[in-house]
Amino acid sequence: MTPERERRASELVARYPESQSALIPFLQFCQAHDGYVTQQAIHDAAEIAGITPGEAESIASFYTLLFKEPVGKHKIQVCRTLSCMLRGADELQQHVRQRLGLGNGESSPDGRFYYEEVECLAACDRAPCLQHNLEFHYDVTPEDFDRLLDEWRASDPGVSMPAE
Amino acid sequence: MSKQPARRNLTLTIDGRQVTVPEGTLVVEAARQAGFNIPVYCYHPKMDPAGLCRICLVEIEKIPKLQIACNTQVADGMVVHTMSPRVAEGRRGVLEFLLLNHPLDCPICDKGGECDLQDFTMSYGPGASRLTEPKLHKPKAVDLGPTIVLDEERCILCRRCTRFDDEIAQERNLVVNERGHHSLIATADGSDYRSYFSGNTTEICPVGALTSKAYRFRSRPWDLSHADSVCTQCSVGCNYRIDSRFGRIMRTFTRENTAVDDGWICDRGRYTFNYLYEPSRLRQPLIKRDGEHQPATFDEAIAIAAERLRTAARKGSVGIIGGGRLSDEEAFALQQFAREVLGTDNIDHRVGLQKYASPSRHEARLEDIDDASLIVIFGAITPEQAPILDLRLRRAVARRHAKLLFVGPYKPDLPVPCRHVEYTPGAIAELMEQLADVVHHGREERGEGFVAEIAQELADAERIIAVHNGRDPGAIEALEKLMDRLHDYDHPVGILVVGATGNARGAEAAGCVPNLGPGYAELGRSGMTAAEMFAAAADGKLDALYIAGANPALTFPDGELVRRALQRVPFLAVADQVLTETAAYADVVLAAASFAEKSGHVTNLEGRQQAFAQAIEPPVHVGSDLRILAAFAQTLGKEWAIPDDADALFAQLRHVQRAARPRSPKDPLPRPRVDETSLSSADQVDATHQRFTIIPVPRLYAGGGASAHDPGIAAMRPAPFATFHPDDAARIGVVHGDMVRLQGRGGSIDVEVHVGPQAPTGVALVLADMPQAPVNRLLDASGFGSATAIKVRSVAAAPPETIEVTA
Repeated sequence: MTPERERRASELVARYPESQSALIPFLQFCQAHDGYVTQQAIHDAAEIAGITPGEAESIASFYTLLFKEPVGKHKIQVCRTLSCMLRGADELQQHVRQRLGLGNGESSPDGRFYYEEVECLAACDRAPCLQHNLEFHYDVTPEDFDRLLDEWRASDPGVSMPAE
Repeated sequence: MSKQPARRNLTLTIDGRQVTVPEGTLVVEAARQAGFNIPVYCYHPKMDPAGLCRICLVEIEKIPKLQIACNTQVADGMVVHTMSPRVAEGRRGVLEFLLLNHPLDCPICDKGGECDLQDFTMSYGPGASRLTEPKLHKPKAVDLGPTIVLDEERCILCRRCTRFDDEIAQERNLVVNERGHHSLIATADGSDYRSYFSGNTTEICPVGALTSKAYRFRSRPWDLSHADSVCTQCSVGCNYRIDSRFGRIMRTFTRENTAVDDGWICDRGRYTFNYLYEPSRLRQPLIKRDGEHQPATFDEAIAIAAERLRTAARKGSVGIIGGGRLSDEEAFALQQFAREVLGTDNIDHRVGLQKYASPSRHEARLEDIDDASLIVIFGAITPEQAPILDLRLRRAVARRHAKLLFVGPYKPDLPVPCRHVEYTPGAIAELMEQLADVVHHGREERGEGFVAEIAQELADAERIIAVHNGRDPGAIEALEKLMDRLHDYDHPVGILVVGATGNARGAEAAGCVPNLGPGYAELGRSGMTAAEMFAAAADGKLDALYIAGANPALTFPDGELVRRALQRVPFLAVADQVLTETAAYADVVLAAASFAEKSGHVTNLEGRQQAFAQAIEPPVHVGSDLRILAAFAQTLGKEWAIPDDADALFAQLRHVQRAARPRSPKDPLPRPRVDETSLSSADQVDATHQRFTIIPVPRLYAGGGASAHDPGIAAMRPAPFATFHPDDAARIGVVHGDMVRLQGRGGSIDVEVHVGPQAPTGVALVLADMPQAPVNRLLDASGFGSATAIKVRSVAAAPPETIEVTA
C-alpha cells in the first residue's frame, strides 16, 4: 500500500465503529486515483477491513459505480427504467450510442468515453435522466446531449471519479 | 455446560397437528418434528437461516402475507398451514421465478435424480414457464479449482455453498459477485477455490450447479449401490457412504453422525479412492526373484512368506509392524498372530512420531469441543491431521467465542483467532509442569508473566479440552497431571489424542504394542518397539520382519535407520495396497484389500468403535489382512484362535477390549512402552550459518502409498517445501520459489523455499511424508533433525516455460 493510501485507510477506519465500513469509501478513493478498482485495491481494502479478498470483491462487484476494469474518463450513464423510458430515454440511448459509437458497457478506444445504460437514477420527476461522472442532467433531449458532448470533448476530467 | 437459561416450550398447530417445541425453534424445524416436510433450498439445518429462496412459504393465521418457514420462529398458539391452496400458489410462483433462467438440462446434469429443484418442481411447480424472452446465459462448466466445476446457469443463488465456506469452514473464499439476476458464485479474481472441505458444497448444492470433478458425468444416482462405511484417512472416523456401480467406486457421500463428523467430510476422505483403479494398485502378490519383483499367486506368496516367518520365529528373531491402518479385527488378529502363532511380543503399530494414541485418563468426546470454553492444542496440527475435528474447533471459536490456545513450535494456518504459545518441543513438558504448579498454588500466588497468564486462562475456563498428538511422553504426562489439578478444582476437563493413522487407537487397544495385550492388558513383559526392531534389523540381529499396512520407510522419523534395517533384514514381507516405499524393499509383497473391499470396525480418536460395510469386491489375488493372516496361520499349522465368522470375531474383540476405556486419575490406563529417545534435540542444535533445525510439518494431501498414487488428489498435493523465517531466508540468500538442498544425517532432499514468519528463526519447517523428498532422511528418532541448506536453483534462473509452436 502506498503511504498515501495507508494514511487514507487509517483516517477512514477511525471514522467508523466497524473497520468494515471503511471498505467502500476506501475503494472510491482508490478508484479516484486509478480510474477503476484494481486487484491491488481489493487486496488492500480487504486487509484494512479485516475480510478476505473474495469478500471485498463480492462487495465491490455489487456496486455499479465501482468499475472492475479500466473505463473511459467521461462516464455517461443513461437511465433505462420505466419513467425515463416513457419520456424518451430509448431515443436518447440510441442517439448517444450512435454519437459515441459505443454499445452498452463499452469504452472508446482512446479511453475518453464510457457508456452504460443503468437502472433508475431516482430522478423520475425530471426524466429522462443522464448521469455524467456522478453529475445529473435532467430532461435530456438528443440536442441537449450534443451540446453536452461538445463541452465534454473540450474538457479532460482526468481518470478520476469524485471520491465521495 | 453452557449457561443458557432454560428455554420455554411452546405449543403450536401445524396442519391440524399439535406440536410442542422449545422457544426459538424455526417453523420449518417444528414442522419437521410434526412430520411435515416443508421444501427448502437455502435453508440448511447446520447454518443460519438466510431467507433467500422463498420456497418454504407457509400460511400463518393472523399474518396477512405468506411467511418463510425457515426464518420465522414459533410462537405459542401459532396456527400454521403448509399445504393450503395459498401456499401451493406461492410455491408455484417462487418455482416459476427460480426456473426463469434455469437451463433445464436435467438429462445431462449430474444432479438429475437427486435434485431438489427437479423434485420440488415435480411436486409443486408449474408445468410450463410463461417467459417468452430468451433466457439469461451465464458461464457453464466454470473450473472453480482442483475439485469443483460450477454451472452458473443452474445456480439458484441459495448461497448454501458460500455460507458453508463462511459459517462452517470460516474461510470465506467462495462469494457471490455482482447482484440481482446477474449474481455469480465466484472467488477473488477467479482464483482457485481451494479448501479442504470443498466437496461438501457439491452435496449441499440443492441443484446441479456445483459438481465434483471426480463424479462428473460418471453415473446416475439411481444406478448406484450404497455401502455405509467409515473414512480411515485420519483418526476422526467420519461416517460416509461409498457409492459404487458395477463394482467400481463412483463417489463417496456424507452419512451424518452429528457426534463425530457433524455431517461433513474432508476432501482427502472424499476423493481418495481412484488409486484403486490405477496401474500402481497391487492386484496380486509380488515375489522378489533376482532382485526383481515378479507377480505371484496368493497361495505362492503365502507359502514362501509363512516358511520364512516360521524359520525366523523358531529363533525368536521375528518382528511385526503395523495395525494402525488395519481394522480393529485385523489389528487384533495381527497381535494374535505375533503372540500366539509366531510366539513373539515384537509387535508395534507406531511407525511415525506418535507414542500414545489415547489419553490414560480424562478422556473426551469430540462433542465436548462444542461445550468447551478453552481449547488447548499441544503440537497436533489439527487442520492438516484431523480436518473435521478442526471444523468443530473453528465453530467453537468463531461462533461461541471459545478461546483457542496453540502450544507448539510453529503456528498452524487457522482461519479463526488462535493464541500461539511458541514452545520448543522438548520444553513443553516443563511449561506444563509450571502450569500445574501455578494452578495448584492458587490464584494469589500466580504472580505475573506468561505462565501466570496462561494459568489464569485455565483457571477462568469453564470447560477445558486439550488436544495433543501423543508424541512427547514427558509432556503428555505433565499435561495429564495438569488436567488432574484442574479436575481437582472442579474444572471439567477432557483430552483428545489425534491419531497418527486412521486406526491408531484401535491398534493400540487391540494390543499392537510390545508390552500390552488386547484391552490394555499388562503383560508384565515386553517385546521390541518398532524403533528397536529397526535397530536390531540394521545390526543384523533380526531374521524376519512382517509389515502390514505401514510405510515406515517414509513415515518413521529415523529414515536412515529404516533404510538400513529394510536392506539388511534377511526376510521382509509387506502387505499393502500399492508398492509403497517400504514394500519396494520386500522379498514378498502381499496385495491387501482396501477398506472399501472388506468389512469390520475401526476405532476413532475418541475411542468410538464404528462398523464399516464392504462396498466392492477385491481383485482375486487380493486379500484382506484378516484373510492373509488366517492363511499364514493355516499354512503354519497353528491353532488359530481367530474365528472365521466376522460376528464371532467382533464379539471376542469386544470382550477383551471391555477394559479399554481410559479410567479415573487414580486408575489410569497403562501406557504402551516407549523406547529411549530424546525429544530435546531441537534445543541442542545450534543454528549456525547455514544449519537449520528440521521440523517436519504435516499436510492433508501429503503421504506415500495410496495417496501418492491417487489421481483424484494429485492436483491438490503440495510440492515438497521448506519454510524459512524471512531473516533466515535473507541470511542464506534465498527467496520464495528457489530450490534448496537440505543435507542431513541420512542424505539430502531438494525442496522449494517458502518464506514465512510462522517459521521460527534457525528452523526449517519441512513438508513431511513426501516420497520424492522424504524428510525422515534428515531426522533422528526424536522426530527432529538438523541440516544444512544450500541453494541449488534460483527461481529467477528457472528455465522459461517451453512454448509449443504448432505449424
